[in-house]
Amino acid sequence: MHSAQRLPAEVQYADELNHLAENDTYKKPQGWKLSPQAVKTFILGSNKAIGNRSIAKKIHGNDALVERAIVTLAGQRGLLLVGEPGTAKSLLSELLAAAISGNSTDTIQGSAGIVEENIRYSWNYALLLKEGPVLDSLVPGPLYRAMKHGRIMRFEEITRCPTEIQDNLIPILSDRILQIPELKQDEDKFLLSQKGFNLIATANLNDRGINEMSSALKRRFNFETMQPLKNIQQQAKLIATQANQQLASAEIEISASDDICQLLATAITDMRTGHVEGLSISPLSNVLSTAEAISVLYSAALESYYFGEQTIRPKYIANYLIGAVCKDNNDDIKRFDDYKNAIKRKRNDLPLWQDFIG
Amino acid sequence: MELPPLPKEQKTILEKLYRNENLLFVPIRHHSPQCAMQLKHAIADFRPDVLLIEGPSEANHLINALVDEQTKPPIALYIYSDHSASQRPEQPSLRQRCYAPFADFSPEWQALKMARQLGIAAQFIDLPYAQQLHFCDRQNQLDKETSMQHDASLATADAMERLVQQSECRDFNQWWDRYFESAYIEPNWQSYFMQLHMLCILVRNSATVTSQCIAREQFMAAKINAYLEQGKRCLVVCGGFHCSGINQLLLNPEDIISETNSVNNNSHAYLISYSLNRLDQLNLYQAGMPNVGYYQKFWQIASQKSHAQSAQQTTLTQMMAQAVNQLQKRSTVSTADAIEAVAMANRLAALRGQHVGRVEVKDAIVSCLIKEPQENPESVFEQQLVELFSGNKKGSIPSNLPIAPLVSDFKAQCQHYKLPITGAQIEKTLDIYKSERHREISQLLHKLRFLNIPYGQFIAGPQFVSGHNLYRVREIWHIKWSPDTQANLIECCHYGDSLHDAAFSAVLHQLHGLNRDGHVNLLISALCMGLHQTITPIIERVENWLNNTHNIAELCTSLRLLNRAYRCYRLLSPNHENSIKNLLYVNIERLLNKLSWSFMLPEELIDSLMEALKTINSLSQQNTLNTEQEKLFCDTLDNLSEQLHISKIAGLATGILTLNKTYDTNTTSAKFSACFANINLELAQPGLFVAGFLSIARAQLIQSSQLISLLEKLFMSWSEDEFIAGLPHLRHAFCELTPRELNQLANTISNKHAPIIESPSNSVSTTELTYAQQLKQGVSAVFNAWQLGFNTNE
Repeated sequence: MHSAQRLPAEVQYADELNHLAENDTYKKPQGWKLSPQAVKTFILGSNKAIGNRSIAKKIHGNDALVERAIVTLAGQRGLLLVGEPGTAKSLLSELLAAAISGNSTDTIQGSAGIVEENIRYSWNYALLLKEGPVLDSLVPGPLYRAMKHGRIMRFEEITRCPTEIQDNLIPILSDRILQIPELKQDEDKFLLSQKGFNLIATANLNDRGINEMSSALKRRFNFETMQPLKNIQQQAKLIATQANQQLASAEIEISASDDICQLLATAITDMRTGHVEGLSISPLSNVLSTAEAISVLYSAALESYYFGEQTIRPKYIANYLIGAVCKDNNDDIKRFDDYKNAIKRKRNDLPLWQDFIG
Repeated sequence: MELPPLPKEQKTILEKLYRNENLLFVPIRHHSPQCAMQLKHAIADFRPDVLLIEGPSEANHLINALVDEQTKPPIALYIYSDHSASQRPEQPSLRQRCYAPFADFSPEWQALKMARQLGIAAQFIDLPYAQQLHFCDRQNQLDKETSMQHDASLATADAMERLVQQSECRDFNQWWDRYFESAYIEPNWQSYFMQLHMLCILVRNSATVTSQCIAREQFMAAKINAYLEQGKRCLVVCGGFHCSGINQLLLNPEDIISETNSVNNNSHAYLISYSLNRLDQLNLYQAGMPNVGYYQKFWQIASQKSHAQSAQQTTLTQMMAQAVNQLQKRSTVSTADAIEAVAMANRLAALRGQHVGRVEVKDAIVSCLIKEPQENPESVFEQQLVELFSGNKKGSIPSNLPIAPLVSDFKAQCQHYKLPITGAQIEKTLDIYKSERHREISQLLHKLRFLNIPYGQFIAGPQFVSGHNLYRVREIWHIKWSPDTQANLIECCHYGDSLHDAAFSAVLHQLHGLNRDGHVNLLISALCMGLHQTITPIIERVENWLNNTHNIAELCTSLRLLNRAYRCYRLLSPNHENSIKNLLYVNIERLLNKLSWSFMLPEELIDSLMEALKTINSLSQQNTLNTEQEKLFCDTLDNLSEQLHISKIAGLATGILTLNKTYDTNTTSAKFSACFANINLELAQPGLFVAGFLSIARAQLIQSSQLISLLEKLFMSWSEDEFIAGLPHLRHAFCELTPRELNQLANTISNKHAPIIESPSNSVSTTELTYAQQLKQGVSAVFNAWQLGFNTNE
């Protein structure tokens, strides 16, 4: 597993989770691996060492939201994380599932093509023909597994599924029962969820190609809106930490300096707010997220390492930024040029920025 | 909560303080319900001889009113001081003001009530406001509603920021809620106030102590010491930040400066009704307790429950139920959501290791009751749930309080003019042109409106500031007295003791903060109020601005306003005709001088400039301009008539010069020809030129066969393409003509090419024509006397 490109959170942070479990003195809800306090420490880190070990912060800028998310999952309602792209909704969802259930793989990725069988269960048709509709023929889906074992199920981009598919979750969240009418034995015809089961969904409600969520389903979720990091220093620090971690794990012997990260964080904020030191610029049609910024920095680092100098230069960042910024609207290229002109006017005495605009 | 240990010296001071059996120092946070509850227990246990409260000394005479049975919080002490000297003898001085609000849950208010019940003497001991002003930025004080009780020093100190960060709380208010508001569920005032005392000492060690703070502490220490020397048992209620400063002085009484003992007679204090919403806003700006609506609810419930934890839970459930009721107006929330929210608030409190408080209630609402993405979660509490969390309760005060001079003056004037001060709404019609008394009433009502005192509502009439309905000769007002009238009057006392002085001061105050063309509007407002003696400083300011501005748009706007003021001078300012006329001249000269050389005018300025030029023309026709101004006007117009890139203005300039016969027909024709020759370069120019010309000199075109022939010839000289290209703009230009004029023009043109058919119905005898001319002249004279701008040439 450790040669995999990306490890699930419960594997990546196995040491931390085990350490927290060993030092967890608080009461755990039934079905949970850790107490809510320990889950909070795992995600938000701790000022104090826990049994001689410090726990790193993994989600930034939404501390109160994380607390509310944890207590929501201890209740009877699902958790719906909404927000702009790149605000760490999926990351938080994964971390919560890993900490609470020790498993973050009971996951569905929402799309227009999702049908009920992808969510609940499907059939091994060979066995179905041979033995008929019995439990052995049933191929449990993420929902079935999560309910059976009392785990957290994750439903990413739930609003990309048609509304009628989404509404399959209504009886699950209300009655905590999954009907399996196809099975022969009466006692198998339904599955009751075990303690510890709950649902985390994520959605970007303002995007294109999404479907309405019915009010009946909305009522069964607690809504939490993830906010992007507004503080440039916080953003810069996060970009630096994440990008350097990725570079280290890929054994790339190059790292991003604080100045470069600050420049990138400033560029993102400028383009999001539509201002460069008081000068108004045309805002882009896409919002650039911190996750995309990390990706831009990583790409720039790779280019520097393999094809350029051994330090990351702002001009490489600019090259990859265009690709991240200009997605499906050609006018964004002109807006990016407008941004570069604004930098020329306002930051012409700063060498890093001059390298950025080339 | 574990606070860092105190330095040894300060620990010793604190221990000495607590050993003094005749003194109990109670540090508080203003408007904290927990402080109020614990303070009540402290008073009951300690049983002081005298209760000394950090509050305005100049309001000691109002303590009885504060604790009167008829007084219902929220209320406030309103204090003003005429400390600052007047700039001119004829002007009233600008006064400063501040508030000391009290809610049901304010510790000071509860202390006063309890003192009254137990028969304990009570006194405010803070430094008088007039003396505190020595240390303040007085200019800032003029504009803001400020409170004497604020906790900014506590909230913003470095030590507090460190404590907040360590606790992982969002801000100081959450920290306070967690450790001092929700944490204590049993009466344990000794432990509570000891913790608070230690906190305040720590905070003060890392804060900057201002000279104002030191002066206040000196004053309070002197007051306390005076009672201690008499052997009185004192309980001191004071903002936490001041405690260690005062303690230090009490332990070293020789350091107390006694000269600050005197109460400054320049301060005045009144009791007014207040509102929770205003208190919430005030606290927002001054780091006070936020969401006072929540604390009001908690206080009401805690007063009936014996156990604080039970009160917290009841507050939680009631707040949730009310939140659902409010939100149901816009979304599909239900009781089930409220149940989940209550459970969630409790789980959040458990996760945070505390009892349920304000923050848990808000977090649960955001999570369980709001089913849409929220860019700013706080916006829910500022909009949909504002009444619930800010509160909407209004207080009341006894009816037998001393009357403020401004209120007396108002009542006297109402009596004089037979206006109501009780009862139902009445409608009043004022004949402001015919009746001097009605004019005076109008001025009174305008003064009240300017001061934002709810009494008269303007329904209809000439609006001199905005320029609407100037043809109206009567004003209609709805007049209704309400308790807010008196409250607002009291709050304007800092402007002056009479309505006249108050309005005068308010005008000066506004004048100070204004720039650009706001001055002229203020001038007209002052004239509407009958404040003729305020005109001089305003006129000086306007003249100064006019002499320094280069902005043509602003000059056009001010010209329009000054012309309006001048036209209305008979009504508004009979004694200041010359002053306003002079301003008008200055404005005209500045504008014309600017136009003499500045011809690159933006599109959006054209209409404004056209109106300004027509205004000047109108004044010229009334022989208002002197010879030099006339010459300047004609020269400017002559220049403008050649600026074909602003062809509408050029057309207007040509029209005016034709109208006043500066241009003869040949010259006018030459201007037309020059403009039309450019059709191949600028399609719109001929149309715009004609539009500008026709906007002022329609008759000159219609009645001039030479000009009509010229136009005809010019149109015929265009190619078909050129004609089609210029046609839309020409059509637009001829829209300036009335149907009758169009008909006349059409007849003239058609008769050129066809025999004239005489219509007997159109013939008019010479006698009739002469009579018509006489009538016209007579009407013109009357209209001119009223400055109503009658153009005899049209």
